[in-house]
Amino acid sequence: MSTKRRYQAEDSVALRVVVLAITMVSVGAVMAQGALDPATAAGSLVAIPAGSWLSYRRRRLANVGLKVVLAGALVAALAAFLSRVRYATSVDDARVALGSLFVWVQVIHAFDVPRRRDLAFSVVASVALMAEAASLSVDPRFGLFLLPFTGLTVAWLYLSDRARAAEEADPATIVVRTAGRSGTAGAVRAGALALTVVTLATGAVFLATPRFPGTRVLAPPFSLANRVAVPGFSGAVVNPALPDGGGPGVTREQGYPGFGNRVDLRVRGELSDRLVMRVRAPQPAFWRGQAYDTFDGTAWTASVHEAVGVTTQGGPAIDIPDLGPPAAAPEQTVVQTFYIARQQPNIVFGAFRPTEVYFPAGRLVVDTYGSIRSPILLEPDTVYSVVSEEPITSASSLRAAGTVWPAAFLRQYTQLPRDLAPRVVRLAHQITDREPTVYDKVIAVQRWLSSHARYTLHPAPDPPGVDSVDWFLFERRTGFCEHFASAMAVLLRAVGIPARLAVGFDPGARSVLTGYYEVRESDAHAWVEVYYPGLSWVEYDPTHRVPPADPGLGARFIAPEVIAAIGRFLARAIPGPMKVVAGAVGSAVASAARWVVRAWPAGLVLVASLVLVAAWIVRRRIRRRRGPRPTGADAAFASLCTTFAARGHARPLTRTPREHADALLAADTLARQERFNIETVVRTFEQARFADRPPEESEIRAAIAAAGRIHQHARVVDEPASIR
Amino acid sequence: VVRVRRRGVGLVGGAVLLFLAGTNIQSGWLFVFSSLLLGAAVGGAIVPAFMVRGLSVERAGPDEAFVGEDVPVELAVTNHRGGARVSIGVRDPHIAPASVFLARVGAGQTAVARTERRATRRGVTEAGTVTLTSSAPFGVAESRRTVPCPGRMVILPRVVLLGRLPFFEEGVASGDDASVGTRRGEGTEYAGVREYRRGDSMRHVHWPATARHGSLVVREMERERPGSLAIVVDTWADAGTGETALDLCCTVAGSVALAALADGHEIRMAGELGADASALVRMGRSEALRWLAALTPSGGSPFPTLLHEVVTGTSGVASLFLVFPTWKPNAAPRMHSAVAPLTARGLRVTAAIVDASRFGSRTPVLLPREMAELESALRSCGADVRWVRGTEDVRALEHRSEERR
Repeated sequence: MSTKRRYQAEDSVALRVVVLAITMVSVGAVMAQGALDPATAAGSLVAIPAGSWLSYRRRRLANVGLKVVLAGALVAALAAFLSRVRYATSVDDARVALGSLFVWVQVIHAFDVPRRRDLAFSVVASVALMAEAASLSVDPRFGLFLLPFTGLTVAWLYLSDRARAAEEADPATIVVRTAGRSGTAGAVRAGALALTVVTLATGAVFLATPRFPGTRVLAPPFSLANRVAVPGFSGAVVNPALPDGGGPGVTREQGYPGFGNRVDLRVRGELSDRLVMRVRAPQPAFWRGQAYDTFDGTAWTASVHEAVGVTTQGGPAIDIPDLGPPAAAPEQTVVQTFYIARQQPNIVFGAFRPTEVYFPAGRLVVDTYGSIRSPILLEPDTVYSVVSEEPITSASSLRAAGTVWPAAFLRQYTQLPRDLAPRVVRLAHQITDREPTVYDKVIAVQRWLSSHARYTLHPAPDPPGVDSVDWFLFERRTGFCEHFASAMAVLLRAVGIPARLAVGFDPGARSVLTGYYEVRESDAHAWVEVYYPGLSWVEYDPTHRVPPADPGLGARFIAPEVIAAIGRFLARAIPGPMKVVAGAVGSAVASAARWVVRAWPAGLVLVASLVLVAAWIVRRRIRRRRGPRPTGADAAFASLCTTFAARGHARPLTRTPREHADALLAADTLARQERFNIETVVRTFEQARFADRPPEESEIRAAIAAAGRIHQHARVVDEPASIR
Repeated sequence: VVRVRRRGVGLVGGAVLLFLAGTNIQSGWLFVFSSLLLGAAVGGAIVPAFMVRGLSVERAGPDEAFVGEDVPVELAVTNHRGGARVSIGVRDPHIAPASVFLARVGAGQTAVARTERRATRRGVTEAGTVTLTSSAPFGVAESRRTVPCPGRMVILPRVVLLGRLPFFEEGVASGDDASVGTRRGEGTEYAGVREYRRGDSMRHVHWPATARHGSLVVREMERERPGSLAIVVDTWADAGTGETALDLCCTVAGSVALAALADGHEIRMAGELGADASALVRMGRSEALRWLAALTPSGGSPFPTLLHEVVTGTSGVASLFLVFPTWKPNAAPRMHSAVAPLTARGLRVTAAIVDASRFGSRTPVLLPREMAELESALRSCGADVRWVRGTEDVRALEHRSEERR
């Protein structure tokens, strides 16, 4: 209550224990992320509880000497932090130094927490530590720390607020008369209410929080856990999963065979769901690895093998030259950080087109297709970052693009197998001839594929000697991404549009908690790149019909990922028969939703009708509650009562009409002026209610008129002078 | 009503910082953390509104108390809902603002908080509502709800216990018919005869009547009684904080009234209540104190005018005790013209003048020179004058004015 009291020592052991637990959990969370050196970690685990105990014992003392020592220690910690952060080259370096500083602040502060607000400072510092740990965490295990931290913080919020409120109150003796029900049930109910409200609020906030791209302040992180050099590295792709380079007999179970020197459309098999990497990026993209330009009817290969070596130029970044045709499309910068979880070939994956790479090897090789290789294999725990300039395109800008390509370029990217069946070319013309622009032709091909072919991971093998694309287009009509992408590239090339096959990974599923894209082996993917003269290479995914467009506002929210995650969970948890039923219900709902969207005017009418019906029901309920509207003499008396109620003379229920009239005459000047009219109203009302003879119609009319005159007079009197 | 507390601002600020950090480094866990903070802030602002619902409050306490007394007041908070209510604050402005904290009121339970409040102001305190507050569970926002809780208490004015007052002694025998009451006793006047009762003095036996009646008959005498005291209080205006000028007037009047009643005098009191001047009304101890407790500044007729109206009702009054502050309308000429007719009728008039200048009044007060003129004017028409500048001066009323000087 008073200033003196606010500075009282905190005696609550419960509150101190909760704060200590909060501190220990936060230090543990930072430790789990490997952001503390062993000495700091061990020291903090011992020193913080010891300091808290000492601080509790000495909470009423001035502790001047101790404060001086602690101040010196704090200065030393700050100096250590500054010396470390001065040499930080990446955000990660700074964060680790900051984490150590916060832990030392906690250790030092733990020795001097006499008051409640000192405990609050400990909690705030713990929040900072948890934020530090959260920023370093790349997997859901951080939840093991966040959950108890949240519970303890809730306990601290409750205990400290209760203590404050009790302190601010005046002294009083409290006696509880236990006339009520069991205390436990009520407490559980109150707790459940609070938990439900907070959980719903947190969920709503989480879903509504937009995910904007960030601003690059320092270099993004990169580090190497285990250096495995590529023997005799010459710029070629080395894929440890395919020791023979993906030759005959290879299957997809070994790893994606497209990461090598060819993509063979005859290879079958299913890729595993093993996590290969996590990607931190502001938006989804294809994590591109390689591109191929030559198709021989069964496999794609690269016709150009020249590559350029690039190295760091003083800073941590390696600039990637653009060796492709000129690109003038507007671009947006996308920074991605890759956390490798499983050994990968020496391909530096990244969104197209990479311009800078932060890589733990100082040298890289770039080919003419914009693909990057490293002299080391991507071992688990390797971290690297790629800065890409993604072209921003729209349907209109692509329609407006030119149609003239350099001859050599056109030859390279419109190459077709010599023995390509004429029906493929005919089909290409049949699909695209009516389309006016390159863009429309591309979309037409994509649309045709989606409506005439079906996706499967297990297509039938190609018969020997057939052209894989021809077989796919005219015979089998089923296949996976490589078949779709190859067919699209071949059809476009058949009508003279330059296209190539790109391979890499699709974005993967974005973790709802970490925000990282979790890329699995099964996310290995093939798609098509089409070149628009003067603009850029543009990616098309005929397998998923992904249009080339800006991610849009919807991609800035986590809700779709949450819904997808819930869907994945349900898919795993629900037994088969129920899944069928749920699927049917879901399809019905989706169909209905589609119908509503298509027939929006009808939907609008339906909604308007429902609103009108609801309004009618509510109105009827209100009327029923109020009773029927008064008529005749009742209406006149009701009007009289309403008029004077507005002037502060409401009629108590126990007062008779006559008593009310007398009270009005005694209390209100207006009533005295309207004595005659009031008398008329009350007399008529009394006659209608209580007399043996009801009033005449003329008398009722006179009463209603009198009530109207009173109301009118009251309005004139109540109006401000300026209005009058 | 929901009021966001500093902790709520802190949570929202923390959430924004974490959101910005999460956006900058694309960390999903920071978004989760930010959402937790903001969710706690939003939830913490909603839950208190539930906590103050379904509660009713009843107040219990004495009907009367004197100024300065510690009054025991009980607040019974009942939870009519199914869920427990935690961290409930009850703010009750009745008598003196008090704030009570109830850690928990279970479902259907009644928690009674007993408080003691210092009655600081004279008057009739009517309480209509109490305010329930809660910031549970997180203290990020405080929800307030006003619930009806009627209560009434009369705070009686501070009184100083006085002994025998000098101005009554002189006023006993004066006046036309004022000195004789109607009670029978040990006086000198003959009142009648009655049958002998055991213990009657034989000196009072009325022998002629005894002879006529055949049994002992004794004379009965009227008892001599002190005369009535009329106390007139100036309620025209008031000033000051804490104990005001009118409060001091009431203390003076109440102290004198109680002393007079204790001395066996009859008292009558008058003052302006609302727009109308009250006539002199005979009162007992409790009535007098309640009447004084209810006095409020009227803003109607100034004191001299009131005195003119009261003059007509002084029949049976031996002494007149006037209590008034030094408001401007109570200047010497007007007071002289009001008091002179009273003293001319033989009434013993004592004026207790409260120095209003010390109350920091915005109402015009008499200047020192005018106060001196007032004193001499009142003395010139035979009135006794006593100056009261604080409660400590009230005790001086026991002394004769000469002694005081």
